[in-house]
Amino acid sequence: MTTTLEHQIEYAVKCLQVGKRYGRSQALCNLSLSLPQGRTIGILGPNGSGKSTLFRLLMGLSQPDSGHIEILGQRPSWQVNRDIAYLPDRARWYVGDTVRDAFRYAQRLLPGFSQHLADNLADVMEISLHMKVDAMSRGQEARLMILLCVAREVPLIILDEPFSGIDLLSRERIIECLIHHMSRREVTMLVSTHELHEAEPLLDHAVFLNRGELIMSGDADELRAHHGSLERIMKTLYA
Amino acid sequence: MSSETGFALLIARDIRRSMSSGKPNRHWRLVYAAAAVLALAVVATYESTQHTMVLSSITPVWTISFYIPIISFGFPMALVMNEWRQNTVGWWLTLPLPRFQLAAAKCLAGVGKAARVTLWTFLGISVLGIYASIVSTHRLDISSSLAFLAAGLRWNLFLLCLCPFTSSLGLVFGTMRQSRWRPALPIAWAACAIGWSIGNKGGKNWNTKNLLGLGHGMITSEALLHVAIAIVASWLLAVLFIWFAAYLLERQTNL
Amino acid sequence: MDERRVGSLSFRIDYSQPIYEQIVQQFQSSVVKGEIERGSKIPSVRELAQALHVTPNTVMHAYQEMERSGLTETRRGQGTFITSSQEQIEQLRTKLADVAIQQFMQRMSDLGYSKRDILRLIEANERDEER
Repeated sequence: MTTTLEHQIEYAVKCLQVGKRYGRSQALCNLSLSLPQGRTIGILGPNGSGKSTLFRLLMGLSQPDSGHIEILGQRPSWQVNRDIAYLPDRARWYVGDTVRDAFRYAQRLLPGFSQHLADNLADVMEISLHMKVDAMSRGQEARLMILLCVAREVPLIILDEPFSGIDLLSRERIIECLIHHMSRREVTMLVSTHELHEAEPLLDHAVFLNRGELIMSGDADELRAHHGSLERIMKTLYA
Repeated sequence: MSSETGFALLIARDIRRSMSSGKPNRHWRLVYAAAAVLALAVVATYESTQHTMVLSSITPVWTISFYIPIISFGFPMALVMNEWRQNTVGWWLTLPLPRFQLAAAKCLAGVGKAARVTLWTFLGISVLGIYASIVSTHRLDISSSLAFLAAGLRWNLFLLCLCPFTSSLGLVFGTMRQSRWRPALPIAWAACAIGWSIGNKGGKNWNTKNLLGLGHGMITSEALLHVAIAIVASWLLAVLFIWFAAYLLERQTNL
Repeated sequence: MDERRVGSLSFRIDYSQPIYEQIVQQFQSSVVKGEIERGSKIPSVRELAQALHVTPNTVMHAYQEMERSGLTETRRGQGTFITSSQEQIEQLRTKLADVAIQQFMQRMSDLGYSKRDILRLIEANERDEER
């Protein structure tokens, strides 16, 4: 990886007046934000606040109607996606695959995927390589998908709602695994969630969205100093 | 990591992928397959005891594999739509490969699936035909058997050559369904119907019998040239369709 | 509020306040109370982040603050150590005492007590305890 280049970019993501609408509903409305590099950033807000739309635009899954987006210093494209590990919103893994098949897929198609790291993580997350996706519980499948993202040595990881619909035990496993990963090397992580709870200590930086607009953002500890816990801020903002 | 190996893996995975949306039940599928084989064997045995079956007279039986290009239209369409239905589209469309490769992989997977069906059809009809002729004439005629197989091979290869075209067309319909161009689907169907009727008129002088190696003498080299040109043209058209599908996937998805 | 143990240290993290400040404060009080010895090694950023379930950036921030105030020192290739200077620790104790007194005085004056009243109350309280 080109470390020298990475340091020249101080922001992992920059959005300028980005707008996106689906039919009559405005998913993002003149959104401007800059997300610092090397930090874990929570993209917070209730369902329908534009978190997933923002991520889809960043990954080039769809195109903005207006505005300008920069990710790792470039416009979204399949080329930049080499450096990004992305967990899609409400994603499922391919039925019929075993864990080993999924690893093979990642090995060949997702740059930076480390087989060694993946094996270790599978051990920690209690996923056996012979397991078939069809036979997995929702929590096991979610752990597998997060593993596929986290086992990549890339400068940016984007996780869309990684904790929704997962049992508490899996959530804690995942959080431990993420913290472990963050302390291994410098990485920027974007994590969206509509219920903060366990994710609170994960975050260095928080961005609060509502109806496609930015309503508050900043360093997590600074926000705590002024307004109390992030969870409380969410409760007051979206009450 | 080279993109070629990733591309090949994508095709291989899609060829292997089962098309049934529900949970496939291996046991029941085996039961149905066995029943079908048994029924065919019974019919073949009965027919061959009622009539004298000579392989050269039953060669037109090969034309039943005409369904192959049609199902190869359905394969890529289903593969694309399944990415949405099974919520895997987020993985698929964020792969670090150009959209053209993603689209081409689906199309080629469709051709690959069609090739597999063609192989099974060829083997099935070969065995059935030769079995019926043995039962009927009580002997195995090597030379007519070989002629029967050659005719089948030629016909099935010809059909397989049409598959890239039909497959790419299916790809376009599949991606269109999932894009903002969905309202244009009826227009696309209409365009297809018109194209089909024009193609049918032009194809009248493609004598199936000649292609099968029947009729009076072998297929003429002039006719063969026409067929070859038509096939190459259909492949070029297929590239154009894949390119269009790639455009839809990049710019016009409903995500 | 979560309570977590790291080796002989125990931390309480309250998410309604800056986390890095809480880490600094808990190290300070442990050092002043003598729970952590002078010159001893403290956990690495990674270890503490994993044990506390907070991000490495937060722990790094706390460690930078501690180093800036002279509570810790980093030895290249060896890790982070509590200062071995008794003087530094005494200074810290005095500083913490100052802060505690100021906070106490502020609260008492909010309750309407003058400095004199406060001193009298303290003495009365002491006599009660002796009995």
